[in-house]
Amino acid sequence: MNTKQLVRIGLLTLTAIALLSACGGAATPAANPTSSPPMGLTITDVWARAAVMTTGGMQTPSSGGMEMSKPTSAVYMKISGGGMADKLVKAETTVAESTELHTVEMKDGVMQMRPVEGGIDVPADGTVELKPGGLHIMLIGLKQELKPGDKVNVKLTFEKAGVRNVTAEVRSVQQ
Amino acid sequence: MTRQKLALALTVLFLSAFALLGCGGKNASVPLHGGRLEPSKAASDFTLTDQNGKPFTLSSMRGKVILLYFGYTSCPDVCPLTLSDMAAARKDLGQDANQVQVIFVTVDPERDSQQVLQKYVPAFDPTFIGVRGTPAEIKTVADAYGVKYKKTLLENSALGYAVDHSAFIYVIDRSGQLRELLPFGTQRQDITSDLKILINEGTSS
Repeated sequence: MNTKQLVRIGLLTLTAIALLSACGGAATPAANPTSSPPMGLTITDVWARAAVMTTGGMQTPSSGGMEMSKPTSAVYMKISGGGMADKLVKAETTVAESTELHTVEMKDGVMQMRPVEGGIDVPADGTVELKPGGLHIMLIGLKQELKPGDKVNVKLTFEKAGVRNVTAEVRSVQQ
Repeated sequence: MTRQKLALALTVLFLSAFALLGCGGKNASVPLHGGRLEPSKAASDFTLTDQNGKPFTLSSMRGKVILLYFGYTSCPDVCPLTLSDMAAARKDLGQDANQVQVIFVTVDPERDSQQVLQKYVPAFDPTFIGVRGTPAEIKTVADAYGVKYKKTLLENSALGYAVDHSAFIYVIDRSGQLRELLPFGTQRQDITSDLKILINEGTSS
């Protein structure tokens, strides 16, 4: 095998790797074999569900125990530990009065939504997916309509990785 | 009492249909994708108030295929996704979309005022109808369909309370027969496919 052949094989291998990593999509950023320690937490596919305002502009504070409906939405994403287990403990946005970590469980066809106590675990060597019908970051009391294409900045606080700022693209669920 | 019995019967029928589907596996030719009611039952009629404050009676929609869904507007996840799926299924139908009526019954009438429904429901699809009533009226309708729902206080949430609720789509054919229950997560194309079958059936029962 001469040098030319070796170079050719080398190039082919590189191309194949490049193609493969392209196929992997955004969820798995191409591994960089030369980087030293674990690459750490990665957050991908961040999106928020489009939502309309269900209450008129300004609201007077609820009085006399009157219940108020609050417009809501949810933010979804994939979080990979990248070698180190972590925990998402807090999420904040400016587009809603409150931002909470919630989950949905189905029991005998009955939907139950609950706040997640203590935070959302991120596995060291895996990915936790916040997705419709499961874990999500709930936006309660939207201050503005969320239209497809809008961007929502979300500040995430992790137990170990600290603060990460991400941008969620607003999507209509229908394609 | 009869209502409770009907609710129980519906639940049993649904569960057995579901179990059968599960056993049948992939090789069984199943035209409809949900838990089928066989024989079908007449969908319980009701009159509630729509998002424009007008009385709405279910049987006035006879001749159309009806997708009936119980939920609440503060529901952040499952309800809007289901409504979006139904809107998407209607889009997939093209011209036949006008043969389909989606009805959203709020199980949280205390917070879901007429004004809230007016803004929330048509945002998914302008043809969607949202209905509400007094808590007692809602209870009667929900019981008739075997819909379970329960207000659950959330101590550490700005939401105040959530309403746990059955998350099925109740599919009623053009003759007014309740034909199947589609569980949450039913693929949009499966909803579309079932709608096509029921539209093409006509009104003979």
